[in-house]
Amino acid sequence: MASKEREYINKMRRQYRSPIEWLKDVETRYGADAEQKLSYKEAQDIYSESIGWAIWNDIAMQDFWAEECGYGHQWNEDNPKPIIQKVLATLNTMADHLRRGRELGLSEMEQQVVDTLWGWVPHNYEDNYVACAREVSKAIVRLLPADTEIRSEEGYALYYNKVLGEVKKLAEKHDVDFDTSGYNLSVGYLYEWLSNEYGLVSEDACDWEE
Amino acid sequence: MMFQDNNTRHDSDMFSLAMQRRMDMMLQNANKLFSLGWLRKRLWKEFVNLIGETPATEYGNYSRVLLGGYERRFMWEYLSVCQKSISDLKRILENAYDDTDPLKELLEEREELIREFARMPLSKTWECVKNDNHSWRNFARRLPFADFSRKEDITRFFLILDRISVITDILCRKAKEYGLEVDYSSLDTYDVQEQRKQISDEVLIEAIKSVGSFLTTDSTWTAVYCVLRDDYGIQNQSQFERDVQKFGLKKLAKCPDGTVSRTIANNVYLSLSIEDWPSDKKFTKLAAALREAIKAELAK
Repeated sequence: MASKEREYINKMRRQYRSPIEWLKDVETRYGADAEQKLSYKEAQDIYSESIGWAIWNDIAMQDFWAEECGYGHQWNEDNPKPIIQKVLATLNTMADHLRRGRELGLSEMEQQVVDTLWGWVPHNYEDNYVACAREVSKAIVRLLPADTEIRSEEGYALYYNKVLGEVKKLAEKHDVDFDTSGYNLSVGYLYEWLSNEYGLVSEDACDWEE
Repeated sequence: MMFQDNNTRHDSDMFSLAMQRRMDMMLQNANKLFSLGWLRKRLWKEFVNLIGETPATEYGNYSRVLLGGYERRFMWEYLSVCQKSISDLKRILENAYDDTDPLKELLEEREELIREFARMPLSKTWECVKNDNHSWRNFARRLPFADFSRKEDITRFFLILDRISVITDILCRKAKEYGLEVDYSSLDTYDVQEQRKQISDEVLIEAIKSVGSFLTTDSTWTAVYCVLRDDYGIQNQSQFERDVQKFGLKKLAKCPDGTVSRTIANNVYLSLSIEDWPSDKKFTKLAAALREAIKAELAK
């Protein structure tokens, strides 16, 4: 039964705060001078929670966080200023990106599909990508097996192939860059992200929660 | 755990699985993805053609001609940074300390650069560029040349691409093309994937015909597969079986689906490399004969 998996995934998705919520939280606590007042520990929390949020919601965003504030940067407790600035700047960029998506009237899922198709965040929400994402998200919902069906790896492979075929058609229709003659990062993102929509969870994950 | 000091970019734990897979695949196929001699040749030919097509009255406005269209922009950007990094690499190769190996340094540098390249937004579909006339054009049309704010990104993209390709050529023993003298004796000790040799179907068919007397039963095809596996890196067993069926060699034994995997399962030594096979087996003799036949065919 898929309802258990769906419940688990929804729980994981809501477990972390999104960049918009984090930014609101930081602004209410510190106002304009967040850069001076934010502590090293809090910057760590923002970074790791945002990565967690991105893993369950928007995979492209995960790579952006890792690129901007990942290991390559100086996480040094004695000199925390640079990394705190970096974390805040990234948080602002991400919240701004999500807000712009909302202003365009995109649902959460549609916005995530745009990010997946574009293969990178932030971006300017090109018209053809938005139009394509709207149709793709409809197809994703339409092709989803019924909740009564048991979720399995094989079932996911079938579902993924169906969606991929649909995405290819729609990408061609809207002139979206979706070349699959080699490894395309968008395809990798789609494969990872779609498993959440489908409800593919490792066997013991749901039981472990109880 | 997450915030240990002294970590380098190699600890890519926080990147998504899709990105990590991409980096691994790029590193594995680096020699194939970044041997760009063909691209230089094609672009140069394109450039010469473009000069030929341009009327003499337009020579004054030549920059305008070059910048018209994404493909021309790609050509211009690539050719203008092309082989820029040679002098720097020459310095690294010539001025190495006695106890360090410059080739090892280049290998490490290339790994870093490829990781950076894989993470660049512009390189999203680089794997789709192949040695033909249209795939690089498709790639060029995707680059955001019209977006002025990304000009720096584009320049950096081409510089890194050029540096990786020159290092790849040096590591693939093509340093002479750049007028560099490199001692390759140390290279065998590192885990460098050699560019796989290719064998054409015609050569293979002729060689198989000349050892036809060995190929009396279905399972003997496994030895042919093992020669191709060891010498030419062919791994796909069912593809090999299908190829053999497509050759349609009438007088020889057939090679039905599943022959190779079944034979290797029954004769475990076949999964070793041919040099380690017992010398009294028929398969060993067939493999040796086939290798000589291929050598003789290639010499013709």
